[in-house]
Amino acid sequence: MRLTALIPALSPELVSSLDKCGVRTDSDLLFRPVVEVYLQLSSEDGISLLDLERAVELTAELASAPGIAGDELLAQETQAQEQAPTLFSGVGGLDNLLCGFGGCRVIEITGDKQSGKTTLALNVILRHLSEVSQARIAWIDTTGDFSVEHAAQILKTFNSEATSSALNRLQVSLAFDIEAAYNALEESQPLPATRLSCIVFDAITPLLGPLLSAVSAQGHSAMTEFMYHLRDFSRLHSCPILVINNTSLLVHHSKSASQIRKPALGPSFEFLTDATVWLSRCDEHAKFDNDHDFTVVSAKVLRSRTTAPKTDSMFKISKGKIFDL
Amino acid sequence: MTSRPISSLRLPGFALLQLINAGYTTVQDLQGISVEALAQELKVSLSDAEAILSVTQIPSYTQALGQPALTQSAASIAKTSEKISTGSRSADELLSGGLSSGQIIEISGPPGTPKEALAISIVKSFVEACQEVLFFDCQHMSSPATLDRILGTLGTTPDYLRLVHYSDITSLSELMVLIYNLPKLLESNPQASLLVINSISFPFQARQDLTISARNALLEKIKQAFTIAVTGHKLTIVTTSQLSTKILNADGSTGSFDTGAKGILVPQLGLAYLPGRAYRMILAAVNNTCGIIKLISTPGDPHGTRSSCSLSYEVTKNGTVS
Repeated sequence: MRLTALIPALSPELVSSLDKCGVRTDSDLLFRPVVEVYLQLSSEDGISLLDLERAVELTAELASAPGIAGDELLAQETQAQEQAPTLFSGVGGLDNLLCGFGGCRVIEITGDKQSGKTTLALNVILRHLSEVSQARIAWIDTTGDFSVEHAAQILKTFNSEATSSALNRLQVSLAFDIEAAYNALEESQPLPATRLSCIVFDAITPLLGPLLSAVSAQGHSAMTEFMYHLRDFSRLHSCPILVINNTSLLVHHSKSASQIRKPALGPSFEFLTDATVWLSRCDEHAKFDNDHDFTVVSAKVLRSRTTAPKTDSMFKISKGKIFDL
Repeated sequence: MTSRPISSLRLPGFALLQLINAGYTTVQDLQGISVEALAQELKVSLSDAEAILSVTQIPSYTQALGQPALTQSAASIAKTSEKISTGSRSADELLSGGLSSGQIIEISGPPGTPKEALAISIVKSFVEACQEVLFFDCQHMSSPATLDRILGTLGTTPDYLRLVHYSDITSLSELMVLIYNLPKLLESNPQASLLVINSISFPFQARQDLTISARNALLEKIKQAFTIAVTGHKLTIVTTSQLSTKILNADGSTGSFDTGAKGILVPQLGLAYLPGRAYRMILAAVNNTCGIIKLISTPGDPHGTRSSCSLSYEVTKNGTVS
């Protein structure tokens, strides 16, 4: 934080004389011994050691994070939870896993290719769009694979008044790199008239994956910063964010081990989101009849901050729509 | 307003360093500062300070420059505009009427099938509708003389010489230069509504020394460029491609020449370079003048799991496809 931002509390003359000595930010002022700074100040400015000490105390107070009592925090969180939009998939077991997909949290949906991640996200948001007529949802597409036909096909199965305008309220943005993703987030800021109910990132791996490297931590820092930004956005605007993540190979030392896949973007990505759901296809249950070909998918909660982890549920996908088993 | 970190903006390295040294961490910190004050504080020139401040004024910055909005509602994506015929009755039927703006189609087939002829007949339809066309040929299959001869049958109006821009691409590097410069090219030709890249598989075929990851990276770049061009500029893209053999084992999985049970012909570049909303057509010749045309993927079914109908085409004496 710059000292000029604290000007009404600190005197402008003090700030400008500190600036002449090269002390511009709060960390510059707080992490140097007071006497050393005092000696560097020129005597014409007429600042006494006492003034400087008072200024340092004031800066420490203003620059520190405010403390909050536990019961206040609980009250705030419960209130935020009530105000936030609720999103459901329509399948009982799946909704019980995480108490729906709403709230002010960042939920990661991960799984192998063709395991139903995009389908699940589409079903959840289209159901919400057709139930709530004022809702607006932002879909950030990072691979160019968003299919309007798939969305229209799912919408046909919902029958309510808001269904006809659902596609109008689904905003699709293209973002092929992190900067475009930040821009897309800015563009989807809630407007006064409509309410932003959810943001979906499909998929986040092409945005953050190329940044990660074994020789430098810069990519990892950019990833962490982006995920913290998403978390702050979600808390500030009471808007759940669904993040779809792909998988990468788990490298085993023993060559005889079968190829196991794990969520991509490293082991720390799991901790940057509020909940992680792992989807995997159960091909042994799939049937391919003429009329009813469907695939069965199992959803397992790998980690969750607010609900019990390691619980799982199964659902089936038929023609792009999610059904209970 | 949430505070976006300055490190996420596209700023030159020295500017970012100066900003961080001066204690600016988020975009909010830079709100309401004048250019002169910033120049004085960071000890940079006025023009540098102005450049820094302009980058932070988003999204109004991108709107002011007239860059295409990459955000649109799903309903506007679904809205299809007026369809332009491909010139071939069977292809029109497969595409439910013809080509609309914002569509991408790939036409592939073995040598001897009229892929380029079909591409040129699409160009002819667009010229008839007075639309501008950008035509790139990667394998010298359709020379300007051929285009002139076929488009000449339209007569002098519309003025096809002005509407069609032709260029040759001789290597993979030139193709990638085209892909990287596609946004600028489209900005300088704002009226262009059709982009044809003939034999897009050929530059890749000529470079067998590329590693798989390098090739996939290039194909991914092509896919991104196509997606942005189609979304922002309402462009229609037509590519033609050769086929290559893929060996399958008896159970359908990918095999090698030693273990394989059957071979199928698939488009050379696969699905990697096309966005999910592309149509892929394949032609198979029965004899010199006729054959079958079929769709192998549509936007609703990108992996082609649902079987589609095959229609027949015929090549007439003067080279047009019906």
